[in-house]
Amino acid sequence: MAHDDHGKEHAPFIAHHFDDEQQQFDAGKLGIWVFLVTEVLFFSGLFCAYVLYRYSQPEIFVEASEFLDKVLGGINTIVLLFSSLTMAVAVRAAQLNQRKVLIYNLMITMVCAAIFLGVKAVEYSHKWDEGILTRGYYNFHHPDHGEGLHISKYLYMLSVIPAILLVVFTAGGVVFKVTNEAKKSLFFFGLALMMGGYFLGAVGGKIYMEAKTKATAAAHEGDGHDESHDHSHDEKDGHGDDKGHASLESRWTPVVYRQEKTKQDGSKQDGSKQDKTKQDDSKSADDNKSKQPESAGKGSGEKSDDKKDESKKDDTKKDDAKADAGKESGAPGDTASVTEEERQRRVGIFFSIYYCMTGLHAIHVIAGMIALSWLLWRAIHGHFRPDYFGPVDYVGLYWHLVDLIWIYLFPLLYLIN
Amino acid sequence: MAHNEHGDHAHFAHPAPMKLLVGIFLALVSLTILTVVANDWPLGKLDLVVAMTIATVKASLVALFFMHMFWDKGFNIVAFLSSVLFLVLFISMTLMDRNSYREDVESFPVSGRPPTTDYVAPPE
Repeated sequence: MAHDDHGKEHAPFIAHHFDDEQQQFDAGKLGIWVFLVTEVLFFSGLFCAYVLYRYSQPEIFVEASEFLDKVLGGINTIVLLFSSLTMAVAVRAAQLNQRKVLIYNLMITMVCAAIFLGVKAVEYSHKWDEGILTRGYYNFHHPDHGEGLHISKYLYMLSVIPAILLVVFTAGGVVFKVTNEAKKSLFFFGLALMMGGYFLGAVGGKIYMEAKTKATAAAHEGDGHDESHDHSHDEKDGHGDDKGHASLESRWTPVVYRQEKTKQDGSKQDGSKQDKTKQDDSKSADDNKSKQPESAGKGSGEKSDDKKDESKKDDTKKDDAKADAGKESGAPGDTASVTEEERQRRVGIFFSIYYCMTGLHAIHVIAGMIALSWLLWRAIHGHFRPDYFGPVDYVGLYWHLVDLIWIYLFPLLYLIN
Repeated sequence: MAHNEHGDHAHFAHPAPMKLLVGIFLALVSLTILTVVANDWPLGKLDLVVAMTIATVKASLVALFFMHMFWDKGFNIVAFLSSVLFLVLFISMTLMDRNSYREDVESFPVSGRPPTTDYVAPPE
């Protein structure tokens, strides 16, 4: 990335301020390593936030981690590891002047990156369906999807750009094929393939989620420990923690639900306390009371793309489940024990951290895809030779760092016991 | 470090052997599976230690072989390790700081919310 070709008069691909190819390579290598150091420090801020909150409230992390699907996380890990392998092979191919191997491995790396993003899109849209947003907008509820395949509207929203790009790149590939510009055509087909990888990941992730939903629903009908739950309609949830004792209808109505919750376990969750805990939310709570969320649970379509949802802190079925196990909030809220509200608030904190870390990582993946596209263009046009393969090496290092960060993110976020 | 003789390469390039790369990948996958399986072991507090150890081993494999650090010039390694050092410093110092103010933070009464622990600051 630091090398351009204007030094051709000395030797091809050596910039004029370098003595030889090796010096150029070494200089660039040092540069990218320094950049990687800054990237590590960039993430270390988020890791620090994670460490502090986990240190303070480990039980919240354990609870919240149940929302994250280990299998999808594991698939993402393997996909990224494989992309690291193909990237390393691409670097090797660049060094050995194996142009075709280089091109193929670059493409595979890009496809793997896109698969990663596709699976992430399924994960995120599933969470947004359930109202799991950042702290302050955290509002977990089981959305009512009814029977059959349900594709979240958020998944559609996330997939708009990849779909457009897929069409554009395929069109570009076809156009250049027709005009007999083989290299450009190959490049655009490569990019289209990469976009296809996104859909592969999204479809695969969706298939897995549907299968998991069906499995947990079947398991629940089997052991029937939902007698207290109003099964007026089928409910497909992805987590299987179907142990709440509030009826579906009441959960959607904030005021009614709060009252019902108070009746059920006698905890003094009066409106005043909850009003106070809403003071630090930027959205006014008044909207929520007048709103009757529809059964899809997505906030009556008022959910903007900024993912701002009702800021009410409804007690959730998940919390009921955990709360029944180890709840201290039955007491009136003036003792030192943790109230349900507080717990709810803190689970939202976990998800703030989760979204920041995985979101930042996803941004790095996207940036990596752009860099890899640049490399693909150059590789197709034969810019790399045995004595000039620096860019491949450097982007490879960046990509390995992205993989490294995910290697740490996966156990820290998904595998909390 | 092995040079592959069936391709010309510059004297400063060290193409990693294919078998090594694939082998490292398989090791990484095995370690990933190990991490997931180890999650179910009843290790109590050691959970995090085990997970982080395995993650660090994986990271080392990636850094040493995929990122070529095994064959690299020393200064790059110094740069990377320094970043790790500062990461450790950052987190440990912040944790120490947090720890020393722990009781104050947790006993601070926030209006509308009860204190989070039973600890009550002693009267001045």
